[in-house]
Amino acid sequence: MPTLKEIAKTQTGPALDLVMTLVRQPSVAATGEGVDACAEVVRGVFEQAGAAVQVHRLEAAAPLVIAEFPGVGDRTLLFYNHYDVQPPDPIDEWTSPPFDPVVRDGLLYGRGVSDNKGDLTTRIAAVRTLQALHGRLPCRVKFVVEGQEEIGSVHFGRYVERHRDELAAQACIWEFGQRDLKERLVVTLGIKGICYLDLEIEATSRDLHSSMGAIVDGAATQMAWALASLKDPATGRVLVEGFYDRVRGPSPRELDATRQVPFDEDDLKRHMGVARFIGGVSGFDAQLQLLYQPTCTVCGFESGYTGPGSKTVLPRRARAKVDFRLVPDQDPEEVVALVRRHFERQGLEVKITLLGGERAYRTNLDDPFVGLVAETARETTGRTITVHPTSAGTGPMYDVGHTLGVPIVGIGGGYWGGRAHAPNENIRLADFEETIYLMARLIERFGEA
Amino acid sequence: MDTLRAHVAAHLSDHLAELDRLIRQPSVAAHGRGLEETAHSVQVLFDEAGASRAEVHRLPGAAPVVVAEFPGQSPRTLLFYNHYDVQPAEPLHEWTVPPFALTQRDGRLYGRGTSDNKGDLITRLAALRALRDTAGGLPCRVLFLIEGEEEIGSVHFPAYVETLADRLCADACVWEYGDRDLRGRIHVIAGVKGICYVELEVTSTNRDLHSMWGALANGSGTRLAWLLAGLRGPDGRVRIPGFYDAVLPLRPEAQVAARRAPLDDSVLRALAGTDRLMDGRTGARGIDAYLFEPTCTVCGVQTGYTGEGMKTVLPRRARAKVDFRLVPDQDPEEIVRLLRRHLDRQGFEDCTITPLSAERAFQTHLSDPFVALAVASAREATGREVVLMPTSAGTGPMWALGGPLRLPILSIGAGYWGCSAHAPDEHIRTEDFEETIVLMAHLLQRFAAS
Repeated sequence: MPTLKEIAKTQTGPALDLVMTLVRQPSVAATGEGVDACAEVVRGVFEQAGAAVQVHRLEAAAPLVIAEFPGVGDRTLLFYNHYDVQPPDPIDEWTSPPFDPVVRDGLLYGRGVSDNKGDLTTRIAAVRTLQALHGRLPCRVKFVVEGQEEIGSVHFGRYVERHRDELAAQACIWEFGQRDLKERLVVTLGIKGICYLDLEIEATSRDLHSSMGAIVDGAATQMAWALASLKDPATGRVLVEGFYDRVRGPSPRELDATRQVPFDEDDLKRHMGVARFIGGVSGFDAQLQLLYQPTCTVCGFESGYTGPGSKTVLPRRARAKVDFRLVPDQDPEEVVALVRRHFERQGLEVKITLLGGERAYRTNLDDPFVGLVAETARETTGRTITVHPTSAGTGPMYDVGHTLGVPIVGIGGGYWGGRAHAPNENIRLADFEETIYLMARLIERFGEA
Repeated sequence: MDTLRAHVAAHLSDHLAELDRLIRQPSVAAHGRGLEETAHSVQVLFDEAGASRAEVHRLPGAAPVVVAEFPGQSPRTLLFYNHYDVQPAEPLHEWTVPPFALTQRDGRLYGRGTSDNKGDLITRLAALRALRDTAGGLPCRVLFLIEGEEEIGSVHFPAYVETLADRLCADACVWEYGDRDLRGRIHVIAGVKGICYVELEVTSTNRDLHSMWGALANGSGTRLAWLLAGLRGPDGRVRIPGFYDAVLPLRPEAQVAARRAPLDDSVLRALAGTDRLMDGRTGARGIDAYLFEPTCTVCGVQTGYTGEGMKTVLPRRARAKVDFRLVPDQDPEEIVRLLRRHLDRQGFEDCTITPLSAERAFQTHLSDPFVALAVASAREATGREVVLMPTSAGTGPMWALGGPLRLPILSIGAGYWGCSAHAPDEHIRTEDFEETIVLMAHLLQRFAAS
């Protein structure tokens, strides 16, 4: 009888076809392009695999796909993934078209292969592996796959509330997981929150000749002041009053775990292309800053004339996008109110729109599910496993963890060079295969536990 | 003057047809588009108007200039300076008419370049035709110097003036444009500010990164905001050390003229399209700042994702265009050096500075007799109250001409306060266009007799 690992290997080819099918269907949440169509593709994939599928639609929201595979026993494992992707811009920096996936030198390229269609595929392939080996699953397996993760999972909280009974489970595997620069496999127990704002300043009733700059500030300059006032250049500390009031630092247990997390500072700096980190932090301090401090980042800023040559104009309007990453127990709605007050106090009239708000979440380090996942990962991959009490990234973990009351662990098929959110996003086929086996074994062990 | 007026009125449609020909030639200096063709059209217009010599001159890598000469009855020579290039028409969706055609609507003449500066060029040419037809010839010798890079800072204009200096000998110069204010007064402008226009580019990481890395690295969006915010404070003062060192003390006669100028808060607010003037820049302080102080203005910014919705990215690169208006005797090259030193000291060594235009400021001495002559001519020809502005808040290559040729230069023209120069729906009023033709003809007559 073939082993689980052998069967998993035979599933890799069909899984590669499947992820390419998913990537060929653009699903850019920011623009809405292809989102509905992609939900239907996902539905079809689950139905083919033998799941009972429901596609839910809240008004003005991207569809939510819930799939359930029956299994032996009472236990249920829930997988969270998303089928939406980041915009492919800047398109001219891609070596191959973003929505036309290709394999080159053992890497699969395409928008969404790393974040998050590849991971969704490994999990479906894991289910198929177990079906092929045993004809049934050792536990019930559910999937919740949303379509607005990349724009802050705006409606996901309401979806989970509404479908909490269908989603009931004993534990949840989160969307992603990485192999770090030293090829260790990262298991993540928490996530930062986000407060993503669109800012707009309309300073004058029309574009003016820039000679008026002697007496009128103009929207671009005002926006520069507004953005510059948010963060201290020397320390990186956010200067919005009250911003840190609800920040809950790491527990002693989390601090201990964080000390075990390798942090390859030089590699990271090289990867990012920076000579020093914000505030000049280094070593463990840098790690704490990355994982436990909130952030403020200007993701976009546009105003006036940006074409070739010079245009002497005082622009009437300026727009910017600002991303605050939050930590427990910051509340995105409250951050909006604080930022609004911050601008008002400076006399800046800024229109603020909350584009995405999520709270941070951390799973209890002592939950037995954490040990089960770490042990299974070690056993199936032979890799060193590092348990991260939290990621620096974001996702709607709070919605699932808080509402369903389940431990959540993130583990998946990514690696350090995956270029998520950037041109030439990719995964390694070897990781892809490894992750299918890992997930199959995890479902197996979860069922036995 | 009545004969003149009647002649101009009778031939207005001819002059508008000439203006339409020019407006239909897109000549966007920033894009290097249509400049050769437009220079040629201008030369043809001069030939048709009876120039004794109309030539297109070219320097390598430069938009051509057109020089034309019309003989006259007196040995005195008046030089007209204009430009045939225009600003980009963007944002196109905010125009209610096609930018590159002349549209007549509600007593207004719409199109890119109607106000800045093709309309003025045509009024001057029309004045020559009117004088020739009504007086049998021109009362004085007239020269035209028409360039094609004014809107990108007249990059090659000083070199052209140097090359053509022999042909440009004149006793006085009438500059490109002029204004009518909210109360219908006509403005005679005796100077311009200089400019130093630069493009800045910041590169902070070796690629676009996921914005979660914002905990450890400042992306280019944030750094550019700091950089720009560090150039000027809400008090209007430029924060680059040394920026004000070369600024000359204000001449008392210039300040007196500024005090007489009908500028007040309501005028400034109307010009600005906002009630929110810069902190403290109201009243006399606002007027002095508007006319006599250098500026720092962000004209454009682009970084990261600015489409719909969210993209959580730490942008690798950020670009900005920044416009410094200068006053006598600031030197644009020195400003670039000071900016470089300032950015280096602020931790922006990676920021590249690309100078896109550089001009010095110029002010004609208000005691020059040409000043009184022009003011009187304007008053007589238009019946309007005339305002002598010691300088404009705008820029032009006056220094490039007035410096080497030692000419008094004054600007009078066809514009008005609401003409949306550089913006969508640029236009002038038809009656101002007609009035300016008469004014220019009268000015030539008085100038010849002086």
